[in-house]
Amino acid sequence: MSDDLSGFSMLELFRMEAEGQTQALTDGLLSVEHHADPAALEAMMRAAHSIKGAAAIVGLDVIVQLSHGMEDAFIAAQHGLLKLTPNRVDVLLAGVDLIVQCSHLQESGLQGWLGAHGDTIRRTMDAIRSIAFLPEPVAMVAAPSPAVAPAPVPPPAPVPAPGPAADAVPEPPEANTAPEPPAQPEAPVQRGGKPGVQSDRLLSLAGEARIAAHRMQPLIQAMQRHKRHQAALFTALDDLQDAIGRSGDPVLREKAAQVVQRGQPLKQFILAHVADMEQYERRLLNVAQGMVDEVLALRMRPFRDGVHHFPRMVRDLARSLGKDVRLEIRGEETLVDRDILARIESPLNHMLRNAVDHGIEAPDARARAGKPPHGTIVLEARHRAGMLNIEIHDDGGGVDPERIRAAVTARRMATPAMADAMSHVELMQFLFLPAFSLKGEVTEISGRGVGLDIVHDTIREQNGTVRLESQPGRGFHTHITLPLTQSIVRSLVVDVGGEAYALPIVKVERVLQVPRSAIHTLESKQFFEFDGENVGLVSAAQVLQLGETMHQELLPVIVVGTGSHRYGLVVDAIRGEHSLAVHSIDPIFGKLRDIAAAALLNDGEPVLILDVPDLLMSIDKLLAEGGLHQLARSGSAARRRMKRILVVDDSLTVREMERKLLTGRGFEVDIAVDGMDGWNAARSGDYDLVITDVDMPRMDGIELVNLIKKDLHLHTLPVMIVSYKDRPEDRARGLAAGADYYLTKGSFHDETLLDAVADLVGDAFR
Amino acid sequence: MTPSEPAEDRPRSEGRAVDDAYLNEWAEHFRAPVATVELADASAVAFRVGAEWLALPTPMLLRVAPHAVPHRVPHRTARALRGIVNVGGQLVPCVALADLLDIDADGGSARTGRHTFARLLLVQWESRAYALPVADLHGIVRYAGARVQAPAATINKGVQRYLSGVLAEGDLRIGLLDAALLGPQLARTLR
Repeated sequence: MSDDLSGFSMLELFRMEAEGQTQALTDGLLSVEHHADPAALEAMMRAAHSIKGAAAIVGLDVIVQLSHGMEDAFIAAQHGLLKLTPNRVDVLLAGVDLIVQCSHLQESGLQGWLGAHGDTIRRTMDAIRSIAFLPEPVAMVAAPSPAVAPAPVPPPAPVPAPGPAADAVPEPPEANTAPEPPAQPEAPVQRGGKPGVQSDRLLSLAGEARIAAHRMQPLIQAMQRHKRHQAALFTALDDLQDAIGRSGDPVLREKAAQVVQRGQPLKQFILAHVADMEQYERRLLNVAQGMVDEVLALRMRPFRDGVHHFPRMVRDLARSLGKDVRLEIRGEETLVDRDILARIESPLNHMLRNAVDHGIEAPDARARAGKPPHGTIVLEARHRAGMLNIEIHDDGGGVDPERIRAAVTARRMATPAMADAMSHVELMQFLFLPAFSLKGEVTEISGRGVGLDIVHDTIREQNGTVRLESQPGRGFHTHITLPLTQSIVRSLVVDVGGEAYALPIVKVERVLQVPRSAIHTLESKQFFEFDGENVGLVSAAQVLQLGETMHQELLPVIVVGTGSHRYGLVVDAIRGEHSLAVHSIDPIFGKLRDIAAAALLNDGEPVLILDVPDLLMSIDKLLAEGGLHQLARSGSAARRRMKRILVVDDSLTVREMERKLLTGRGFEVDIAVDGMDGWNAARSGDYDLVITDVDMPRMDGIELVNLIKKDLHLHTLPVMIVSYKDRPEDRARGLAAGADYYLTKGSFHDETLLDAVADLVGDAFR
Repeated sequence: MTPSEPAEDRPRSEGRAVDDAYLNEWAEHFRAPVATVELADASAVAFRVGAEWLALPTPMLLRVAPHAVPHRVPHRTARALRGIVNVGGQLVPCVALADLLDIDADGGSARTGRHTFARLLLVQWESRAYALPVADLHGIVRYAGARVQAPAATINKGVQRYLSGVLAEGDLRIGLLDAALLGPQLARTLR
């Protein structure tokens, strides 16, 4: 983080500090719950104290009081007066949550939040205060409590439930309500919204520098050619000199010697220059490559950043299930691309919840199995062979492959004979199928059979793989392998329609050259035999609507997809394998069909990276709709025939509502945010209808109607007003301005809007 | 801009006799009324598309880049969208004004006595960059807002909707494009 903090407000600075300190508190609380470490207590006390001080400066009184109470509790714990049992940790964690929530509030939202959560805050504060001063009742269950002197018992806390009764009730109300909300405030805190954009810019500039360095190569080759020409010239000159020498004319001989002498330095000159340029090119390439590497390193974050909240989540979840589970995170310093880190959070979360819910057994079951009462889940990240390996293993009951086998047969996913022949690894694959759950009943946490398939899909999307392994009774093991970065994708570059396209290498099954003679045709679909399988041929140019594939005798074919979705994609030519630095083009076009991203080749030519799963779906769709050839034409023709409507409204909700209604009817809808915007759009676009609000900034609807009705070209364009104003005089004013229809907003969400539109312009087809 | 000063072919240090001719020459110079200088309060980048000279408000211009071949974008059928093009390491959408304004891109010829280069104008609309291929670039024209004439009544309707006026610059008649009309059309080609 930069040292210059002058640009931040006090509240922002406080937020940054609170973020760090509350994390320290959470970590500390989780660790002392299992093992009272004086160093951890000391650290927590410091953290609570710092928060208290900082909160006093920004005037967040609630936090001052909360942290003060916590500080007292830690002091008591330090003096051995208080043992931090799980229930007390619950109470303190609830306090931490409140601090986190409160510190994320904007100044304006503070009062409202205090009002809304007044009860929770008061209860939590009381609970914290009462654990600090009422050590005895809470210590009852915690057996090895140090001999506590019969301390003077202060009057019971005003709210009886949370404090003293905390041990009797398995879940004090705070534990129930408080731990959930922090999930929301934590999300927007992710650092690096802007730095992210900057590092993207840096990466593309560094990529451009590399491209510029590569441009030296043609120059050097030109110099080499020049050198060869020069050498030929000198040979010719030498011949000439020899000839002159034989002729014996002293003047000519003299002149020829002079010419050769003059020529000598030129030879040296070009040699030196070629050498210089080569050196220069090498240096440029090194610097540019170094820059690319460094920028990529900038995008890397320690694994810890993505997973630091998991120990708390696992603990709270386990407690709500009456289990004792500890999460051990290893390899916290392992560097992970920040995009990948953000995307794997939810799959990891899911796997951990699964492990707590299905994996780890209840304490008594564990005792019967001869395991320690607390379950352990290990989450480990490391780099291996240029890939990121994440492993999750627990020491719970694991999954019995025989149960999967039984479920597979019961659901008729395979015949009993087939199921019997399946190996454990194959059986484990079934867990990734949608709606395949072994859990008898559905719980809030898991068992609905959704999840593992989503985990699988998410990891696959990141070009990674997941593998499950189970030892019944001993534990469950998940291996996730991901590429180190999403910024560089190893790709196969091909030509389609004379332009470069790339396929991520992990998605390419095979690259082949198929002679025309090997292609068979059935039902006018072409296919060829590959590995004993018939693979249908699809022209990439047709799928992408780029015209026809070139006619060639030897067809370059890329086999993509698996199983019943395996196709041979015919391209114009295969250029080879490249490492491409990915440029996102979603910000420009939104999601492009069949395209995942773009990149630049070494010579600066743009290349589009194909989205293979999307492409497979496009192919399926083309086939389902009856052939590749017809569709390309009908698709684009249908789009042109739609009528176009311009919706002008300053309210996002109304705009979107109208847009949805109208696009649902097949209209093509554009939107404008106020009268001025609407006027510009109406003048430049070719619309069949304008629907406008009345009250809008910059230019109101009446004025817009006036302008449209007075415009030479637009006056025939029908205009409908949709307004909250439903008095007769408002209606009259709108119609007087020239509106063709006046509708009140009270009725627009039903059929009346569509009916009115139909009255004015008919249906969506031209 | 300033009235031309009397020819001084020798450097000042060499000195020149202060004779009557010299004095008269300067007196003439100062006697001449100050030519009214046009107050240029606006500027635009003038370029050629096909046979037509057009101009965009200078604040829209980000940079001028060498011409590059755009890469088509599949499934995007907007006629003017040529694809994406690499400008200085960034990929930007390339939009052909010729298609957007219905201009014959093949028309027009290079002005004599000038090197003509096809180039890309990188322009900005609502914080998004667009690369517009142009056949020739005239440069930045500074002009007085009052000098802008209304477009002729017969001008092609389609084009007229983009023009805010016509500017005479030498023998060129440059159509000033209205950014507020053109911008949304550029944005629409992306959808």
